[in-house]
Amino acid sequence: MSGAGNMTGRATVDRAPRKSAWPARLDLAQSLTGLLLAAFLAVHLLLDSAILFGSDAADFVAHFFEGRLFFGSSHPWIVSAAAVVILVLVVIHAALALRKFPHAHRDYAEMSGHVRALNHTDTRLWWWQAATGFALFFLVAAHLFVVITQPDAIGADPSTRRVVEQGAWALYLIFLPVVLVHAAVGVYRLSVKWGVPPLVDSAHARRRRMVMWIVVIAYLVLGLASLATYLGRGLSG
Amino acid sequence: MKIVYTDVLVIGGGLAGQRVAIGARRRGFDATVISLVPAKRSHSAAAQGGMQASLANVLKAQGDSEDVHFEDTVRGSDWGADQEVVRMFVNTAPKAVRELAAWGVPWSRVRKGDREVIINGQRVTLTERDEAHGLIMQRDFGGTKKWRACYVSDGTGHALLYAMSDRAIASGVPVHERAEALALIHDGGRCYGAVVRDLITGELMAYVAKATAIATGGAGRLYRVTTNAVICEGIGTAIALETGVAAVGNMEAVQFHPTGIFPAGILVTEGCRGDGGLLKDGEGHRFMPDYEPEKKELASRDVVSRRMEEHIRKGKGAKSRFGDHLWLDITLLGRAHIDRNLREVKEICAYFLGIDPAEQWIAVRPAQHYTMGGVRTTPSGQSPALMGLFAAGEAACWDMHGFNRLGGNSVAETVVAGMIVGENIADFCADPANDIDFSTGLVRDFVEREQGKLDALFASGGTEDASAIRAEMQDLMTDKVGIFRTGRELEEAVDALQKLLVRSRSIRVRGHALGANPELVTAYRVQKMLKLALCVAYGALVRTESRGAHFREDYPRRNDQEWLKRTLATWPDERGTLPTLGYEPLDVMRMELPPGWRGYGAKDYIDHPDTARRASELEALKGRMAGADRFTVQNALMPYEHLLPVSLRGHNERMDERLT
Amino acid sequence: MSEPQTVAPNDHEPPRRLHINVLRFNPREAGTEPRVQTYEIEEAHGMTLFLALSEIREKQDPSLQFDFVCRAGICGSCAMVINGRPGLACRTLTTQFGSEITLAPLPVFELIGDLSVNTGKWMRAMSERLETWVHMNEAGVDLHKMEERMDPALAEEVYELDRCIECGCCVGACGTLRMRPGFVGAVGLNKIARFRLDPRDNRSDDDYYELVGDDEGVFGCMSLVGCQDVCPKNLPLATQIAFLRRKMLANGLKR
Repeated sequence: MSGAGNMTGRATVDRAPRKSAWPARLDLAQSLTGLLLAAFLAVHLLLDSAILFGSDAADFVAHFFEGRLFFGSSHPWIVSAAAVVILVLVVIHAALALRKFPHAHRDYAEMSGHVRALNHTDTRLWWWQAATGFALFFLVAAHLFVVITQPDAIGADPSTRRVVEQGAWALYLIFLPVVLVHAAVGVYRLSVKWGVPPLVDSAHARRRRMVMWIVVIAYLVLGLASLATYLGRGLSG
Repeated sequence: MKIVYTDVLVIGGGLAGQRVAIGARRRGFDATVISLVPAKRSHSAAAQGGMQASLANVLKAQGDSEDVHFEDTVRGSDWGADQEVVRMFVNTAPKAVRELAAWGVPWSRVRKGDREVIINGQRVTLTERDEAHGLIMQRDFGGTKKWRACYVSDGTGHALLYAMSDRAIASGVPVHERAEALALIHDGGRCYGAVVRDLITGELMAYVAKATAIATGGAGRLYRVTTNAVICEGIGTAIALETGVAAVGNMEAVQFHPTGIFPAGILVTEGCRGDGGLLKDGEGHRFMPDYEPEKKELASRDVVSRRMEEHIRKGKGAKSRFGDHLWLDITLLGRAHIDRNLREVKEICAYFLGIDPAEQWIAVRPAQHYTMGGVRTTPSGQSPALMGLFAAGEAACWDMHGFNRLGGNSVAETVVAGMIVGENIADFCADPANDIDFSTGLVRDFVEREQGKLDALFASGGTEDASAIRAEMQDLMTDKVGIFRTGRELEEAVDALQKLLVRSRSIRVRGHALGANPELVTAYRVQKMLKLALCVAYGALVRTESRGAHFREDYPRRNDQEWLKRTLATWPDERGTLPTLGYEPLDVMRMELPPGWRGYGAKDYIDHPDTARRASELEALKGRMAGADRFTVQNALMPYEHLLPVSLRGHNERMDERLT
Repeated sequence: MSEPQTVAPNDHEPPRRLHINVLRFNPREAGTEPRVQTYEIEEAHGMTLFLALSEIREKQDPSLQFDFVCRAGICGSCAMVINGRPGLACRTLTTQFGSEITLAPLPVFELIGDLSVNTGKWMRAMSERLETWVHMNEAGVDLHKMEERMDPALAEEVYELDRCIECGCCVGACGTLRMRPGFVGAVGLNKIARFRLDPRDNRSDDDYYELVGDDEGVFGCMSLVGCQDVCPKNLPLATQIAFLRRKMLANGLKR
């Protein structure tokens, strides 16, 4: 028999040393870094779309982030520093999330078989999230490498050059849907995971996923439009 | 050969069995439960509506007490019950409910203030007392004077079984799941345990124990149409019968529940009618008041089932492709009530009938429901014939239900009997006089004998198919040993069952699959079930009277003069085809409540010669004791407390009856 | 309502032939491999998978292993994977599918044979691990006295979570459990939520954190909601896990 208790059901074995607080901290950290990154992405993409309002708008945004409004001159290191912060968040988030990935081939085979057999939206979405997360290791690395090493290459004209002449459009075309799906599904998952608001039933979850897809599509349209604008500028200019 | 040693072997992991094991365990003995299925899947889980205990918390229960519960139970039994046992039971039932409350059962609780209920088809407002707020709730059930059934929505059995099983786990009681007892090991006077088959590996083992308790529930699967789970095949009762020594009592007393859904036979609780649901016929007419003006839908189950069948025979049933049935109408209770208090009923209606019971009527017809008979025990729970063999719950004939059990009394009995037998079995084990001095040779003989029987089923030159024989038996029982019985049909049934029993000895198991081998399981079980079926049919044939659920159209009157006695069946000759019947008289002169009219059903019966004498004796006694409290009077009429374990004696506190 | 209805629609359509594909394997037969066996039967009115499988065993293949007990959707014995989804076979009507029905045993649990798995062993281990019983005061209760009062609404809330039948559907639908066999599963976390709600259990969140405050407990749940979506009793499992996660987080951060 296991360490069963006496008749009042009180456990008789003295418990091992108190359980660590780390699982709680790490779980919160994974959620928080994810949420911060998603929030950053949401703002980032909105700001990127400034180009839709013309090159002045894009330049204004670039200058704002280079600190010209505060210092009177551009300080691209601010952009680099911000990028480094984001990179740190990404690394932490990825390291925490890796704990949930399949660890061995057995895990992978079990899970992929499960996803196929169960035919269940939430389970399939998680699989996508894991897959997009994996892809983001490389995509984010590539993107941030550029930002950190060429912090001054923002604003309407430098961005146009990067997108068109350096071929970054191809990267963005893949990056955009991947990061959007990952972030949106992630935020949806956070709401379910922490029950904010509580998930009442399956219909409720369906409605929430609908909202999620609407957000994804809206951002996709916005992002693609911005990208097209840069491409248009580059090709015509 | 694998031998497992334990102090107490409990066969059956339902409410009764686990409570016995917990009782023995808390007294310091090793108790091991074997169960056909995981304990939490036992048929106790299917009890829906409630557990009778006279807590008297709600308004309509005011004035309830052990005395009222006692009278209701004895009347319900049609005076077939052992009245001392009924007294033990009614005094322990409140303790059982309260113990379960402490163990975590989420009993439905009283809300103070107004609430609307349906009584006799009318909407009535009851105002529950402030001081009752938060105490355990009671609902109305059939055959009772007061609202007494404590409940957990309509998942009472489930909630109880989970609390009980979790308590067993907490107490460190091992439950050997998927294990089946095939035979009791005994020497004709003393039981030493059982030969047990592992239903995963197919291996035979011996469990050797000082005391063995059978708590395997009923034998509903003798019938084709039953509310019982597929595991309720009466095997535990049958292995006691197969000792040739232990007797089974009153097997002809078989209860049919009025509201099995039609045609599947799945139960919808009596709580439906207790809460105000009505029975209606093919024309939508509420017919029960025509037959039973006093209790209407809430007469005892035997009476309601009989009236329903009678009404169908008059051509008043609703027609369907599967035959005639009646309707249970709970639409008048309203959706909110059904969603809160009858949710299992709602699920069952949705999944099996495709209807919403808040909108539509439920097709019902009586279905076999409960086995009042079982392994005959004394009030202590021990077999009078085989020392060391105990029985509790539906598998036992203790005998608190007599010829008809009241709704809600079975769940209560499982736990109460478990409490009482658990203490008694611990006392038994504690007494050095009961130490066992057994021979491993005897154990080996029994295991080899059982192995030989199984081997023979493969090697048999016969051609019989076990499933086919079982189906024939179930048809016979449902068609000829049902609610209405006649001598002619019973003779036919006994004759045909004997032939089936002979044929079952030529069953051939074709598949040699390793492991449990379901074909083999059916084969050895059907041989045992046929013996029980013969106890039912033969006992019914010989009993030429009508009492409780046993109704003979050719002998429609209860006959106390000749039949105020308990049938005891034994099976001394293994190759025989009929049980040996004996009878144990019930002593009117010791009864607290001498036989009379039940308050519902037929008013016509033949008195026992002692009845009048005992009645006047009781009157005189009561007269002499005018002014004494009810406990003193009761003790003078029929003392019983000495039969209870010391820890379970004593009065029960109620809101209106505080302990001093 | 005034007119009683009958239960028998489609009286005149000819019965369908059903093809029931069963994933079969008897681990006790050395040298055999899992295989799919197809049984053909005629559909009857109101036929559930309980009736279909029973008929197959009685008339076609007496060796087929499966578990039914109550056959009324109450006991939780018959959970299996039905066309990819875990569910209770006894209350699944064949009419809700096409003529092909594929049945497989629940994953995760130890296979006994064919459609029969050892849920009981898994659940008992879970109960022992999580101590799924009311932890009372040492004194116990005096059974002669009136019961402790309990708020009626709270009693109903506890019962809501107590309705779990340990069928194992949530385990079979759980992606986390497929990758992390030590995870307690929704069934276990729901039990903790149930006892946490019960005022008769004197354990605190400190105690519950010891039981489920790690990645094999509540923090391991990846919130795939499979549990809640297949639960035959419609228990709010994902909601309860989320609630428990917040409580355990709060406890963990205080450590």
